Amino acid sequence: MGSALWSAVLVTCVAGRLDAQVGPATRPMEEEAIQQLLALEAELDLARAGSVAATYAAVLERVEANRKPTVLRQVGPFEVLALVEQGDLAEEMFTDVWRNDFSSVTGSPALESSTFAFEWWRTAPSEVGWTLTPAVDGPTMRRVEVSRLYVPGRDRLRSSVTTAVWSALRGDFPDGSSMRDWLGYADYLPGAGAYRVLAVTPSAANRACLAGDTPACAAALGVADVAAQPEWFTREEKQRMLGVAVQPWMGRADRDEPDVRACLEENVESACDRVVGRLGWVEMSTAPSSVKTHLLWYAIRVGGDGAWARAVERADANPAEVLVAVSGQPLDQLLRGWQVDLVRQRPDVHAGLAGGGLTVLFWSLVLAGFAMRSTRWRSA
Amino acid sequence: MEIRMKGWLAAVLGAMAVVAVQLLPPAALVVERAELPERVRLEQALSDVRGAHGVIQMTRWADSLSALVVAADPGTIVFGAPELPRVTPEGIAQWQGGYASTLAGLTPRDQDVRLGVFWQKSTEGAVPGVTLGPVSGGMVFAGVREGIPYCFLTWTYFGTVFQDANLREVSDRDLGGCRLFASYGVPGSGIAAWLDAGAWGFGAETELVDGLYSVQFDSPRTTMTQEPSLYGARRHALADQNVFVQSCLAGTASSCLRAVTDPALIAPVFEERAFVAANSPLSAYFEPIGPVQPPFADLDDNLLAEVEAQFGADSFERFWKSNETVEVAFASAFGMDMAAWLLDMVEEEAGLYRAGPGVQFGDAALSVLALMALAAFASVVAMRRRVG
Repeated sequence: MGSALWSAVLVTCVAGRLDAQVGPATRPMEEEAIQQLLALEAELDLARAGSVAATYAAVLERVEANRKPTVLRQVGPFEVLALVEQGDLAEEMFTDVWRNDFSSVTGSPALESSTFAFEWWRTAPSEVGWTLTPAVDGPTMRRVEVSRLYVPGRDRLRSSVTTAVWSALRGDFPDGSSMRDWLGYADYLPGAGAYRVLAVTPSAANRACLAGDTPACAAALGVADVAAQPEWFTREEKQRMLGVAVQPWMGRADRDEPDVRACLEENVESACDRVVGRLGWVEMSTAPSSVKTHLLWYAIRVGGDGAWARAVERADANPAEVLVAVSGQPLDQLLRGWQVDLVRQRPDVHAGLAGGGLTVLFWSLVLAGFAMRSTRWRSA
Repeated sequence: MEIRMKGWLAAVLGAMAVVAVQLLPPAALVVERAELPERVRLEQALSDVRGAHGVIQMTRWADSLSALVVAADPGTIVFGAPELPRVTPEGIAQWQGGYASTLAGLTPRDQDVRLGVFWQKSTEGAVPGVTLGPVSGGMVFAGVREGIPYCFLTWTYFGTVFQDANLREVSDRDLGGCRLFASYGVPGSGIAAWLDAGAWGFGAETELVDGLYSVQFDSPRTTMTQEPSLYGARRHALADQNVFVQSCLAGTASSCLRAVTDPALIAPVFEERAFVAANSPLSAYFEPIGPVQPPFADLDDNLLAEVEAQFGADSFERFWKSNETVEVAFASAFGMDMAAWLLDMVEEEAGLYRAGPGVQFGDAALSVLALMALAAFASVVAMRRRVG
């Protein structure tokens, strides 16, 4: 660490800790140390400039060395870059995702400034995303470069594409906007996946929601007064909600306010109810972010043409207002429809007893079949 | 028949080979490239500047704050609160009250030692226009000025987003690294050398928590001190620290001693912090919480408090004031081998585990018993079998 000269100057200057000499006597040596520091800062500036230039040169070199035949296709609002031999597969995947999940998206600034680099590789990546020379004001390269080892089937591949598209679209909600805070950073899940994460997240509100209680859904999703039915949430859950809201970057509650202090520092539940009730909506309720994402996309599908644009226009509004504006339905009606839709997509999967039993039966029959055949070791 | 059997075997082996080839992982999961030399130079230059700036800043803090502390009356504690719009006099009073009550209940207490707690802005004492050094979190400064021993803590804040609640977060803390200094005064040269090498963290907490980590070892509640291995048996995440910690957790007492006394093993984990601590009057950073904190994560934060509680204040004072190396001081003050004591402590706090491969005795015994039972069963069946 550091040059030998620098270390020598400073060690002479301060000489240890418990036997350290501090006070005016050290100040002339401090001047020398400051001069050394300024010289190091100048070296740092040079190193920064050198690193930027070298990094850019390395990128150009990498792109030049990685020239491969690629194809650029426009699939709906998506610009997709793929190896020539995977062009059709890429188009098929993105078309499927566009038609089934994101068909109502129009005029997305994030998509207009994105190019998706698609590759489903078997033995080693071709790094298709590195076949184009990056431009300072060019599109953002969003990579869907996945290994068949981790993404073995087309369903999983489709899911990777969906995740990449959603992570791009999320950029339409500015950082710090209500919708960005409310949605979080979860992946886009199909209905069965959203049902599963809601069902396995332990919470009375989540259970009541799945049982058909619409106000419970609103509270679990954090779009309504979560303190309206206090029995749905534990004190710790309310403290967690408030703990997020008081963060400086959220700024939705004052940590020095008596009720907030009583809730967070003295564990007074009635104070939690009062403060959380005043918030109106909360960033972190009991429904996972992926479930909120599912609700948003349900509202967009219900809302039809222009729904995504309406959501982006109101990114900083209360999420409940955004959902109403997007879907064109009252919140109660929207949540009721979403809940029915979600429960309908409940995965029809049970614990693996049937599969295991069948496997055991199969192998038992195979071995029994062998055992009944004649062998040379049979004694009679 | 023999040919048919060989055919079957060949077919099975061939099928297994085909499946194995299909299941082989890809040739490369990621494309690895050597880091650019310019990038390495940049990181080194950045590290140099940060370390050098940290030394200057900490020297300035030590200079100005120690002057305030030693000028105070014996038995008092000097406070420095942030001057910010959202920090109120009531908030400051509550913050100071927490430390004052801790000090009032402190026994033993060396009245000669002056104490202080300060909130410092991260840019305080910085050279304008230069990249800042590693200044964050809490720090301990202990030393002697004008013949007066002092110890003070500093907490760092950034910007102006700071309010009473941030003060309250630290108001119930004890005196941390300054607690033993306040009780027993300036340590002897042997112990001082050990503390300055990185052992301040062993006195960071005074609360004794018995058995907590033993419970954690057996339950999956936390991943901080344990992690599952590939085959389901658990091992300590702590063992990733270094080979001596691993060996200590496996029951080797000499390794426990090395893990808590070797300067190379107890220095701050971050290089720039280690540089600043070694080259400025700063005694110690409050290390980051978690497995990266050497040598035993947060399990060793109350190590010195454990020693004090077990052997009593008088013996501990003899240890603290010793000019011998730490292991000699330990043996002469407490009449016990430090390595053996550490092994007991580690066993009690974290539990020991078997290092290296090998079948557990219980597993081997169960296997043998199962084989014997099956053999007995087969023998009984064979003896009762009638042919023809």
